Amino acid sequence: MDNKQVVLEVIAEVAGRPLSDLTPTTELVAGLNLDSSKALQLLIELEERLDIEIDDEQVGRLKTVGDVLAAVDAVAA
Amino acid sequence: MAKTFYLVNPAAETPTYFGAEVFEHWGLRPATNIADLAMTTVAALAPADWDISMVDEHSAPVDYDIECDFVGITGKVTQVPGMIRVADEFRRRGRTVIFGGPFASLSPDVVRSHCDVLVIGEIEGIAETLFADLDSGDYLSEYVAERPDLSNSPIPRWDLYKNDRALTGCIQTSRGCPFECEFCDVIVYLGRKQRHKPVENVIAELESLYALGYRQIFLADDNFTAYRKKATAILEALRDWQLEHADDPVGFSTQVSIDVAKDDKVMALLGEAGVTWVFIGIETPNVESLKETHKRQNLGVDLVTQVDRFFEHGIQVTGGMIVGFDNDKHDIFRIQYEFAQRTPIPIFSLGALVAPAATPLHERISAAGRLIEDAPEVQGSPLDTNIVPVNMSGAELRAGLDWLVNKIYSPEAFADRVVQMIERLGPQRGPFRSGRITNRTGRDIDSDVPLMLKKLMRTGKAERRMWLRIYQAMQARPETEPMVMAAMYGYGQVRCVYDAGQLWEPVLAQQPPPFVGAAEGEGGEGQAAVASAGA
Repeated sequence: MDNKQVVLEVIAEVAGRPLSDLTPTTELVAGLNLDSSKALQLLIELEERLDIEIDDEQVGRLKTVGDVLAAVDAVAA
Repeated sequence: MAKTFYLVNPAAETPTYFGAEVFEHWGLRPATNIADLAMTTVAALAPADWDISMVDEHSAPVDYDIECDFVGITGKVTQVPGMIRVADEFRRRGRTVIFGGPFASLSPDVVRSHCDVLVIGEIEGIAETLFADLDSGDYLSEYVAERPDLSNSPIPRWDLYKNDRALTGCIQTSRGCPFECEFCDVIVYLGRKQRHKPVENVIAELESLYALGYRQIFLADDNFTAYRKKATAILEALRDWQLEHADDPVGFSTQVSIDVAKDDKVMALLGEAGVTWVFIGIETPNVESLKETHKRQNLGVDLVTQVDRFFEHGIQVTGGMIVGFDNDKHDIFRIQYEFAQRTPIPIFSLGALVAPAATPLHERISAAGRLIEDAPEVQGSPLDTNIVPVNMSGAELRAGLDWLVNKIYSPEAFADRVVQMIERLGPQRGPFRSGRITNRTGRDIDSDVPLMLKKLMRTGKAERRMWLRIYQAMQARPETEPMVMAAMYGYGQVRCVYDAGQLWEPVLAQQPPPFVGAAEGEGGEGQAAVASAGA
C-alpha cells in the first residue's frame, strides 16, 4: 500500500468517515470535524504507521486532506 | 514630559504545575498558561499619558536595551531569582527599578536591596500618590498600601500584553479568603475579609478578554465561592452573558474550597455559567493532618464523595495534595496514592509541605526549631521543603515523595483516573451542553497543544498505550473531549516539571510503596482516621 492510500485510510478512520468523503480540498476541521484529540490521534497514527515524524512547522499548516498528503510526501521523500 | 514605564513579569526559575513551560520543553514557541494580571492592572493604574510596555518572560525575552524611565517588576515566590536577576541587570544599566507584587509584599527584606522603590501591599490604594511622585521625580524608597476597595479597580490593559502566547485569560473578581489554612500566605497578603469587584466590572473585563480572542478564562480568586451570595451574583451574570454568546462561549476555571460541593444551587450555577474546571486544595485524606493545618473546610466530609459532586456537574477538578504534615507517618505515601486513584481527578499538584515566610506555619516551625534555614520556602522542585518532618527523616520524606509522584503519574495510573473521569463526568448544563468547545479565533497557542502532546506520546510505549486507552474511552463519550484534552495538557506540563527537576524515574512506579512494614503503619490499616473513609 502506498503512502497516499495509508494517509487517506488513517484520516477516514480517525474522522469516522468513508474514504469516498475525502478529496484533497476537504477541510480537516470544518469538513471532517477533527477536534484536538482527533488531530492528535491522526498525527500519532500517521507517524506510527509510516514510521515518519511530521515537521512541527508543517503541522501548523495542515488545513485540508491535501495538506496532509503533501506533508507526508515531504517527510517521506 | 510623560514618563516611559517598562513592566516585567520574570519567568519562574523552574517549571511549575500551573505553568506552560512544556511548550518550550518540546521545542515549540514559549508560552504562558494564565495571562498575567499584575502587570496589566498596574498599567491600567498608571497615568494615561505614560508610555507603557510590558513583557511576560514566560513567553518572550526581556528587552534590557529598552529606553525607559522606570522598570516595574512583579512576582510570586516561584519567581524570586528571576525578579532579582532582571532587577540587577536593569540597575546595572542605570535604570530605576520598582518592585511590587506578592513576594515583595510578603518578604520585603529579601528584595529591598535589589530595587530603588519598593511597593508593599496592593497597589490600588497608593497608585495615585506613587505615580504622582514618580512623575515629579521626588519619590520615596518605599510605599506601603492599605487593602483597597475593589469597586474602582480599572480594566487591566490587556491591549499591551502578548495575548497570542497565553492559553488562558484572567479575571479577578475578589481578593482574600476567610479560611485560615496554616500554610497559606494569601491570607497574610490579601486578608481574610474578602473584597469584591462589582459584577458590571467583571463583565467589562470579560468583554475585554473576549474581544482579544480568549475562550478560556481563569477567575483568579483565592476562593471564588467563599461568599455564596457574591459568587451567585457573578455566576448569574456570567450565565446570562453566555446566553448572549451561545454560538461561541467561554470556558471558565477558578479556585474553590470543597465545602461548596454541599451547596446544590451554587454547584448548578457553576455549570450553567460555563465553569468547566476548578482547583481545590484537597491536601490530604489524613484527618489529623487536616486538623493540624486548620483546613476545617475539608473536615467532616467524605472527600471522594464531595469531589464526585463536581464531576457530576460536568466540572473537572484539579487537586492540591501535600505530604509532610506533622501527623503524616510512613504510610502516608501509600494512603495518598490510594486516595488519588479512588477519584477521577487527573491532575494533582503534589508536593512537600513548605512554610512560606509570614505564615503561621512558618512561625510555628521556626519556634520549634524545625525550620531549615536557607532552604526554599516554596519549592524550586515540588519535593523540596524548608521543614524538618516529625515522624520520618527528611531523606525518608523525599524518598516517599519520589515514589509517590512517579506512581501517581505513571501512564497507567493517570489513564485510570482519566478513564474514570470520562465515565463519571455528568452532562454539561451550561453553554457547553452540546459538548462543543470551539476555537474560532484560531489562536496558534491552542493548536500547539496537540503538537506538544504528540511529542510526549513519542517518549515511550507506555505513554502511547495511555493515550490509546484514553482515546478509546472517549469515543463512547465524545462530549468529554475538551475535558480530556485539558487533562492531557496538564499531564504534559507535569512531565515537564518532573523532567526539569530530574524527578521522573518510571522504575519507581513498579516498586511497592516505600516503608511498608514501618513501625506505625505496619503496611496494614495505616492511619486510623482517613477523611475519605467517612470520618
